[in-house]
Formats: sequence, structure tokens, C-alpha cells
Amino acid sequence: MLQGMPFLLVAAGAALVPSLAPAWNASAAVVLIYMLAGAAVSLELGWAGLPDFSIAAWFFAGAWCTAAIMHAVALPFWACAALAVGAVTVIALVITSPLLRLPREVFAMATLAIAMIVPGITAHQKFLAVTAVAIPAGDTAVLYDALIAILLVAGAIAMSIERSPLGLALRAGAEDRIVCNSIGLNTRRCRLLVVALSAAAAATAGCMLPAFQGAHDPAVGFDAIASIFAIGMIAGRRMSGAAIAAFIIAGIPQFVPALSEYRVVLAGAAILCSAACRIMSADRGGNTVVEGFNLAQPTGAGAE
Amino acid sequence: MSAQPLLRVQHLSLSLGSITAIDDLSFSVRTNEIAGLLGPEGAGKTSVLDCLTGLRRPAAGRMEFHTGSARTHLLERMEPRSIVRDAGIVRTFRDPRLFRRMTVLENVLVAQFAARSGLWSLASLFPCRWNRKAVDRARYWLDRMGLSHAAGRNAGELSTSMQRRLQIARAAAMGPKLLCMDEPDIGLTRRECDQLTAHLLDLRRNGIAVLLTGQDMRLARSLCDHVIVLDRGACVAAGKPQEVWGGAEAQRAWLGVPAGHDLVPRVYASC
Repeated sequence: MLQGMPFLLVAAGAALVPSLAPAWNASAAVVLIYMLAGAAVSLELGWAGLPDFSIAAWFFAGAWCTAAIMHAVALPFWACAALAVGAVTVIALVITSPLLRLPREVFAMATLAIAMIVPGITAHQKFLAVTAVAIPAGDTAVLYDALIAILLVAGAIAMSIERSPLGLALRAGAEDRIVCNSIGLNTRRCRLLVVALSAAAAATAGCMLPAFQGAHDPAVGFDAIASIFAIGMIAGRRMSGAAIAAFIIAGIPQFVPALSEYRVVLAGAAILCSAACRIMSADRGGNTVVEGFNLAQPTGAGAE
Repeated sequence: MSAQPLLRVQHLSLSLGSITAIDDLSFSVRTNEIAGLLGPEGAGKTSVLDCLTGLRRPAAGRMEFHTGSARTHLLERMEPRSIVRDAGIVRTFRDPRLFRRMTVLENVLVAQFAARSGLWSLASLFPCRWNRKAVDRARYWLDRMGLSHAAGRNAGELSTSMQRRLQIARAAAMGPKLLCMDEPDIGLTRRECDQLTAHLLDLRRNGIAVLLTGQDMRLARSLCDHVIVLDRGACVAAGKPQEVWGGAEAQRAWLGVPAGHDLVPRVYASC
């Protein structure tokens, strides 16, 4: 289950941070940003069973596009962010659409390549790199409130999708594609919709990160990729899992700086715990351990 | 009964590697009719259903499907999804293939949404319970198949008989014109077979034509208006079940039983 309600509660709870612990405002914002990105991975990997690693690229592209647009045209931050999210979503659809016809393992490889190439190009090619563009997003309190609002909207959409025809179709597509064909279900179309939603969420998270940091740092990309993958792996289908994983991976180094050098170890331990939980869940007759990670199935009807 | 058949298959052929799965097969199914494709294991029955539903492309032949609007669908040129959505041909599988991690009700609902092409609209993002018509229809068919008490259970938890009934409910809720059923009676007890017979007759009363495959003549005798007996992909006998039942050709080619011997259905002999 997506479990949108815990996700909404965490977001609502985070709204209290500025008044209860103002010093943790920036740290909480980073956790919420990774929570949003993790939810995007959860939607694709856990819910639609699509091993789409390119989400990390769209996260980075969202940050880069916002900075690039602000660098090129004199528009307010929010206008640039909206343009960037729109542009990244369209690019994600254009690139991912033909890949959906590939067998699942090839799709995973191709999207992993995208996740490595996109940040690589934008960070190291001088003609594309937008280094340390100052992002005057305005008052961070307003920015924080906006982030909470975005998370609430994302949670509400997730809750709605959970019991919607699209949600059912996604679960069906992840389970048995031959049956989907036999009942006339267009799994590719459903997946495109999920790719669009996930890319938009990842790009939104991406453009919020430099806004809180005050500048776009190209080097943040690779670190973000690893974090987002880890959050997505831990979360699986559960958006509440995305909130917990975001806190472990992005929050602990923020709130307890002494543990920041053990961040990768913590992430690994969290992934192992998540795997153990799934095994126990499968033993109790719940969902399969490998949900979302079954590379044996093809992604598209054409690959059957 | 209308003069024009609902389904007309002409000179259908299919090869699977070096094996001829279907060999120049021709038959037809009329509106509101229950037809049977009978034959032993490996006779090519499932391959015929695969061709009709687009899961396999035939090497040769023509499959015409005539709908009420006088429109003719050429199934050999259509994608599986179009065959379901445009022509209205739905199938069930020999080993029940369900969405095992979804509830019984969700299994029927998802098929309805798929058949009604609403997944690209904004409505697809809102909870199913708001679509009362779809839920009512799903509950109606679950009730008809005796599954309303299990609507909230996961499909993977059901017995084989219940899974078969769920397959039928899922297919019927999509409002098909022709329901292709692959060996629906396999593994069922006599009582369950009697229930299945009643359910299929119920479908026919609702205007759904049925094409079923099977190895057992008893179900065909009690249900089918006409049967086609296959052997190694070719038609060896066709006609009313009573005529085929005693036919020497069918006995020899289909069951390997010499002419004159009584045909004792394998499944029921042990019941």
C-alpha cells in the first residue's frame, strides 16, 4: 500500500518544526525534500514495478534546470521552478517512452545509464554547467511552507491513486502482463502516466534543494543519486517507508553531524532491515519479497 | 439465431517451431451459442484461443468477427488489447490467471476499467468507489458466480473452483460478445462442474456467446450447441455433440478408443 496517510501526517508534523525547533528548520527541509524524491521512486519502483533509475537524473535535472533558467532569464524563482519541472517532465516522457518497450532488465540498465550520464554532463561540461548560481528564493519560511504544501498535495494524490483505476492498473501491470493484455489493459499508457508523475515529483524535489541551499551546486548530484536510490529501495511500495528512509539517510547526518560519516553504513543497514521486513511479510502471506525488483518480466507488451 | 455467424475462422494455420499446432482449421460460432473445441492434450485447442485473442499470430488464415453493428473485425490483424476492447472477445486461462495480490472485487474492477478505456482520463486518478456503476456491475457478477461473500479476500487465497468462477466473473463484467474459455472444467469435482454448467448457461442467457475448449465430452454434451473435434491441429469431426459422441472418427482420432466402445469420461469415472 502507498499508505498516503502516514506520509500526510509526517508532512503535517513537519509544519510544526519552525515554531518548536527553529534551528532544525533547514535540516527538516532537506529531509522533506528527500522524502518527496523517495516517494517518486516508491511510486515507480514499488507501485508500478518499474525499475526506473532515471528518477535520480530528473531530480538533478530539476535543480539544474531551475538554476539555468534563472541564470538565463530574469524571472522569479517560482516561475523558473515551474518551467523547470514542466521541462523535465516532458524530457522524462520523451526519453522513457521508447524505453518502456524494452525487457525489464534492459530498461533498468538504460535508465541507470541516464541516471549516470545526466548529472555527469551537467556537472562537468563547461558549456552546460551552471555553477553556484545564487537562487534568491525569498524568505526560507515561505519556502518551507511551500514545501509542506507540496508534500501534502503529493500525499493526497498518492492516497487518491491508491484506490483509483490507475492504481489498480499499475498493481495489475506489476503482477501479470499477459493477463493485462487479455483484459485489454494498456500497461504502457499507465506507466507513462506514472513516469510523468514521478519525474514531476523528483524535479520538484530537485529544484527545492538549491533553493534552500541558496545556490545550485553541481557536485550535489552524485550524492543525491545514491541517497534517492537508497530511499526508494527502503520504501518499496510504502510511502510511509519513504518518510522513514528519508529521515535515516538525509536526516541523521543533518541532526547528528557526528554520524554523518556513517551515513552510507546507516543506509546499508536500513536497506537490510527493509529486506528482512519484506521476507517476514512474505512469510505471513503478504506481498512478495521481490516486489518491484523482478527483472525477469518484460516492461512492455512488445517484449512478451 | 442470425444467419451470419459471430465468429468465422477460415483455413487457420499456426506453426510453433517445427510443430504444426493448427492445420487449416475452419469453424464458426453463432451469436448466443456455446461451441466446444474438443480434443486430447496437444490437439491445438489453446493455440486456437491464443490466435483468436491475439496472443499468437497465425501463419495463415482469416478470423472474422461480426459485431451487431455490421462491422467486421479481422482478428489476425488486431492487437490483443483491440480484440478485447473493440471486438469484445475475452478469454479465460486453463490455469486461472488472476491478480493474486488484489482482492476479488479489485480483480473484476480493474478489468472493467481496462475495457472502458478510461485510464487516460482524469477520472482514473480518483478512487474506484466513486464509480458506483462499475462497482455495482462487479458486485452483480460476483453475486451471479457465488463469490460475493469473498469480495474482500485476496484472489490468491481462493480455491481453484472459486478462482475459475472469478475468471468468469471478471470476463463477464467486461461485457464481452464472445467468451473464450480454456478447459474451464479441468480439476473440478462433479458438483463444481454442474455449477459451471449453470453459470455458462446463465452467460448465454445474458447474450454472451461462449467458445470453450476441453478434453471431456460430458461437459460438451450438457452445454454445447455444436462441437469441433481437433487432432494434431486439424478438425476431424464437427457437429452436434450427440452426433460427434458416437462418431468413429472422433473416437479413433481424439481419444484413441476403437469404434463401438463406450466413451467413459476420464474425470467423472473417479467421482
